[in-house]
Amino acid sequence: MTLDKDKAGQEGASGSHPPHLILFVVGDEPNSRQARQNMEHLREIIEESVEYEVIDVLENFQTALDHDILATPALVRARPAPQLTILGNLSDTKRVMALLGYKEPAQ
Amino acid sequence: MSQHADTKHFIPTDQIRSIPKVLTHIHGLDQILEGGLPEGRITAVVGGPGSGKTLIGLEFAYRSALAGEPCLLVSFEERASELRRNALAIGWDLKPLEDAGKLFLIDSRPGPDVVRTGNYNLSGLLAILNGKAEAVGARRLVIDSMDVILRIFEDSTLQQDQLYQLTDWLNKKAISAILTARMISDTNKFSSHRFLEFAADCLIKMESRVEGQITTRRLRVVKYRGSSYGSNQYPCIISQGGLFLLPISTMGLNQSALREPISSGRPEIDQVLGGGYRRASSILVTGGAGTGKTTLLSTFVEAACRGGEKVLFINFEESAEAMMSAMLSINIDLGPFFRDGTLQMITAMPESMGAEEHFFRAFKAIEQFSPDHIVVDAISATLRIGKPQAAFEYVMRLISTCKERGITSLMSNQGTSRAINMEQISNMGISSLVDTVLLLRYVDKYTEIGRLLLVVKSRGMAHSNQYNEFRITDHGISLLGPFEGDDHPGLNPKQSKRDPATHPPSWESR
Repeated sequence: MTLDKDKAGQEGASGSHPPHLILFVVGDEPNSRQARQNMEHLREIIEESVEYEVIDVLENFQTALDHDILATPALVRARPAPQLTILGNLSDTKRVMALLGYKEPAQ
Repeated sequence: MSQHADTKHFIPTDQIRSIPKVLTHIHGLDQILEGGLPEGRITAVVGGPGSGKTLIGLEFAYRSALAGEPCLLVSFEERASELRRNALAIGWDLKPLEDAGKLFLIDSRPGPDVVRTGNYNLSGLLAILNGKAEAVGARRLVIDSMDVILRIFEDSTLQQDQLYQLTDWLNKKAISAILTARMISDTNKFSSHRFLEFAADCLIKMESRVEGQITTRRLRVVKYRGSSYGSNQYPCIISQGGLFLLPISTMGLNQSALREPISSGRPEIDQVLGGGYRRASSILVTGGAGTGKTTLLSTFVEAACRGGEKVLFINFEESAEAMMSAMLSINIDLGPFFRDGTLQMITAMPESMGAEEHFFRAFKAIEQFSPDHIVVDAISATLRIGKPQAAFEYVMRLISTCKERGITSLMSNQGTSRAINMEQISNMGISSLVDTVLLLRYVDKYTEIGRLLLVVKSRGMAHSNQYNEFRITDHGISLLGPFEGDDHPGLNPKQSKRDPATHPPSWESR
């Protein structure tokens, strides 16, 4: 667990390939809306460029199935392996950044 | 068990105004549920580990798919690959049904590598189920088990909320669903248990107990909104082919009538019986050790097999070889009938398995072999299976199964009593279930030991009420005629001359 996170930290931030992030939401349901906002906020404060895909399970349930996503919202780092799943509306920005291996912005 | 209760229970099917149901095709379950699960509603199956709740869900999904009804199965406990493997072990091949688009396994385990931050809910699961159900036209769903998925919510209010969302969606979509939940004991309920039980229209409890080294599983329907149901605890076996439930309450409803007399194998004995045994009746031969019970049974077996009728012999006493050689010494040769397939024998030590397994073995043999007659030597041995209740149920179900199918059942019983007492005749209170009771006993003739045969009762037959003396000779049983020794206090002087068919002796019902 700890090991994975450390690895994620190295590869996520400084690896040659950018991480493949997917945010799973369900329509306009409150937690999903919150998660989208939190993810946008995250992108703004992180200095590197952060790319992610948003998948609405209502429209595309197969991808959710493929990634073992049953509870939503959920942020999945599909690559680099192993898959990392962060369940919830991502309200704890610092924690999410740490999990994904991004440095906190200097303030 | 009064007959009134049975007749009251027996309403012609076309008069039952029950809610619509879907058949599970699980052996015995549809009878207990009086037609199956509530259509478009939720059924909760709760039970401890190993109680068979996963299997109920899996079998429902499998049999639905087999019948052409698409079904989704969401497993939070076992991986789809494990489910497929377990199914194969039972004899179900899920793959072709999956390929044909009839069965869908969705597996997911809330893994330990999932990190949580902030609020979440099960709307993703609902979106998946909704999408998949619509895509494949599934009206049936199994989720195994609810407590596992709900455990990702720490708060019980949240759990209930999620459960509500799910049940609400299921009901709106009119999906016939089985939701399972683990329960080890009443105190071990997961926090939303009550809510699940409340949300379900049909609630089934499963339990497994180990007594000795034998596991017995039981199923009980706790509630069924808008329907009546069998309210007993039903024994449940997991076997090749699936779950197997034995609905006891159907006892006595479909019994076929006693048919024509058939020979006991000896014309003299037939005469004492008032013509022989009745086909499709049940006959109990009771007596002490060595009184000639097995010989009397074998005499019948030989005659029946010689006439080309099929006999299933359930032997709790000795191996087929041991019995055959013992019978050869009195010139009864069963060998040819084993070889030409008219005679089949099941041998088993009573202690080797539980009553359910014993019955199941017998039942399987009955289904596959479809015998004309069944011979059991001796039902008293079933008392060694476990509790008296287990033995009683075994014998009762066996008799019932035979009667439903018009099979004659001839059973021996090792009794000890010298007096004629119906309760002691069978040791287990089944004498009212049998049509004919024969008593074999010794008599002290001062210079030798004699053997006596008495027809205690025989429904629908004008039988002899006298003790008849017989010998076991090199050529089998030989009847010597009525026994005249009236100076023996052990012999019952009060034997009634009434016809027991129309006037059953009053002590019988006691």
